[in-house]
Amino acid sequence: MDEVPELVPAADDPYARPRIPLTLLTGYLGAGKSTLLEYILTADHGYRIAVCMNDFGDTTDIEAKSLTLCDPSTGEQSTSFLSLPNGCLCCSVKDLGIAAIEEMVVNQRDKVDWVMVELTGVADPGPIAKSFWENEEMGDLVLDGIVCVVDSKNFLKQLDDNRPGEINEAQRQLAASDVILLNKVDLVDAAQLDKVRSRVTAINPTLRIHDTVKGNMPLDRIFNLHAYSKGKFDTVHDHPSHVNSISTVLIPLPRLTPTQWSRLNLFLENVLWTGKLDGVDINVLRTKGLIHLDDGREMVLQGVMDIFEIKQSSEPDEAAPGKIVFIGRGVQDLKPALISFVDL
Amino acid sequence: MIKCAGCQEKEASRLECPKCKKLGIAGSFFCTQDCFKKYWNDHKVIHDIINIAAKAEEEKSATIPPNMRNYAFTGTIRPVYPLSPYREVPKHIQRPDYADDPRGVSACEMAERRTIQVCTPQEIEGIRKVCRLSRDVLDIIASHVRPGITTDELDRICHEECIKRDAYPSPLNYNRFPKSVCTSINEVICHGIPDQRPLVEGDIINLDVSLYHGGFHGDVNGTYPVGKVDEESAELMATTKRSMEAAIAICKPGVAYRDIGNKIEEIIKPKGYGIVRRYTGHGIHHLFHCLPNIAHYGGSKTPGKMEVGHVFTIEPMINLGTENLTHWKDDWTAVTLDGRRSAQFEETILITENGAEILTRYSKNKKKKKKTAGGQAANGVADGDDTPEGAATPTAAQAAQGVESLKVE
Repeated sequence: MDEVPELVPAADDPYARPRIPLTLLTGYLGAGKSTLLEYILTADHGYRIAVCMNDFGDTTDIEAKSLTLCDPSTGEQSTSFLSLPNGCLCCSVKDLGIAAIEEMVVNQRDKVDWVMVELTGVADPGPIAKSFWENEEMGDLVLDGIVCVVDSKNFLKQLDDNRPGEINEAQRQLAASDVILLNKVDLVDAAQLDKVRSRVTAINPTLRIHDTVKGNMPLDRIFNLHAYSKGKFDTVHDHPSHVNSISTVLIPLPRLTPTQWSRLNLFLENVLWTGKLDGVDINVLRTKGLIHLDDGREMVLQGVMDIFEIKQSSEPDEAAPGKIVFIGRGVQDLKPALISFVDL
Repeated sequence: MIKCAGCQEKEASRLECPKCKKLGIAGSFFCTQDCFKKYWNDHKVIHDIINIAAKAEEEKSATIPPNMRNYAFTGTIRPVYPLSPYREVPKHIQRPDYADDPRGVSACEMAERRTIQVCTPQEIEGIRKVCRLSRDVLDIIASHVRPGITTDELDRICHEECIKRDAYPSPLNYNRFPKSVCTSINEVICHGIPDQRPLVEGDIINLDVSLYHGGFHGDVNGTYPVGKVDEESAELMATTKRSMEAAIAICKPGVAYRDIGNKIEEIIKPKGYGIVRRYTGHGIHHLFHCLPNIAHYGGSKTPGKMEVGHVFTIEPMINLGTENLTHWKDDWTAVTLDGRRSAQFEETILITENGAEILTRYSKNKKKKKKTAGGQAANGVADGDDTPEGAATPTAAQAAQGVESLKVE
């Protein structure tokens, strides 16, 4: 019998703007970000990648920043400086650096499948991730995820770097990331590596961990994470919090009644938008959640710092347990507060 | 066989008319020099036609700035240059910080706080005053909208009306915007620069007026028909205004800012129009643009809730077709990507105990003003009573009515 061909969609809207995924790359100076980028620009992986390598993080100065493109078919690289796009000085675009990257990528749309932006070693990726994620609504770049590269040998020292009253960058980078690459694993023994792993998991148990040497690994480990759109993430358990340290709290959720559902929304608004719990400052850096409702709907919660979004899941999974995860400082207090506010 | 361009019978040689070659006309091959000579008088007409066409093209683009002559315009509107000279603001008028900055940058705005300002009663009094002045100036400019008037002339009127009121026209030199008002025609979404183009019967034009007076900015805009406009445009304008009114009507303390966009989308989506995403509403007080950002589309991640004393604009830009846009190469003019029309309405509002006060809309009838001050401002929306009474001229009143009067037509 003849095979019936698949129906094809009608011609695309000629005025639609295709969206290009973007990965943020964070990590200390010397962790191996540049080696990883070098690998990404030269390895044979089939992606046409645009890389912004100039230590992105400063929102006002875009003049010295450039974008390098690689063409996998020829292996050729080309680099050009970013320029301010037309009409972006008005109230719409919040971050000129983002506007400049977007403009350049959009102008070379047929040459770019993926964008990688390298952040400075000392940058807190949280606010930058927030800007890119906010900009997604009105722009052409879609934040896929944040990848953190760490030097397995020095990472524990960096995590313990004590800053009175504030959270150090290494911890902030861990909190904001979706994937961590433990680099230079050839330079440490198994016991040291285990220690690093357990510290990483203690701070952010939702992280996917991969070992690498010289940044070498399959790109599918850092691409197509959909970290800001999908509700799937692995978590183990919550960990006790240290002073001046980031930790994660996991709150299991039953199926919610409509009342509980609206109370939960109100709780998130109250805590995340104000940064306060019962009048006390609370520092949430990342929020994730999967919520099952009485009526059978499954909702996905995503949040960075004070902004969050709840969307209905496109691929509901009855078996995946409902839960909310907060990553940040002082987040342990959120668990009893949420349970009582939502009346679980 | 390629036939001779002269006799049209014999096979052409490789000999080509030199003039055609120069003009870029391909295929003018002749069989012999004699034949070329014989048919010269008939042939040379082709040169004249091409020359005339080229000249017409040149004349047409003479008023387009050189950097845009090869630009792929999305619609039919073109910039008509040169712009008129910079209009001075007398020195006795208080100027915002960006007015004299070479790059037009507002240092105050750059140093903006990360939270939404709660305005004090004194500040609100100042903002209310400048908002009313802004409304007055908008109504006056709108009364001059007619076929034949240039947008530069509208800019002159705006500039002079601001000065009469001891106010600085906020757009002037803001990030180097060259004029005192934004005039956005047809497919121009916003930030159109007033130039020498005369308005044409059937155009729709948005006038975006902002004033700076007493240390505060006010911001208001409206889209107006030029003469009689087609039904599609009238419907677009009416729906856009309706969406803004509906969004204002939900504003009160405790309402999430992102509900504004959800409300607008509820009204716009069924019509199939596009909601512009690139440009948002904004907080306004001693700063021209600041927090909160007001998304006009649904499902935004905008954080925060309204509180008493917050002042911001709601200014949806709605397109007949695609929501996507591009910019002319003048740093400002935002146009629809498909070249179809766009409309916009804007008011500056204040969150009050009971709802919202539309600061850029007030009744000039004293009795009514009292009632408004009594805290029933939000009702003004429901009444649809937005026509300033006793406006400058009857045409001003007509123009202010704008969309409503269109429905009658």
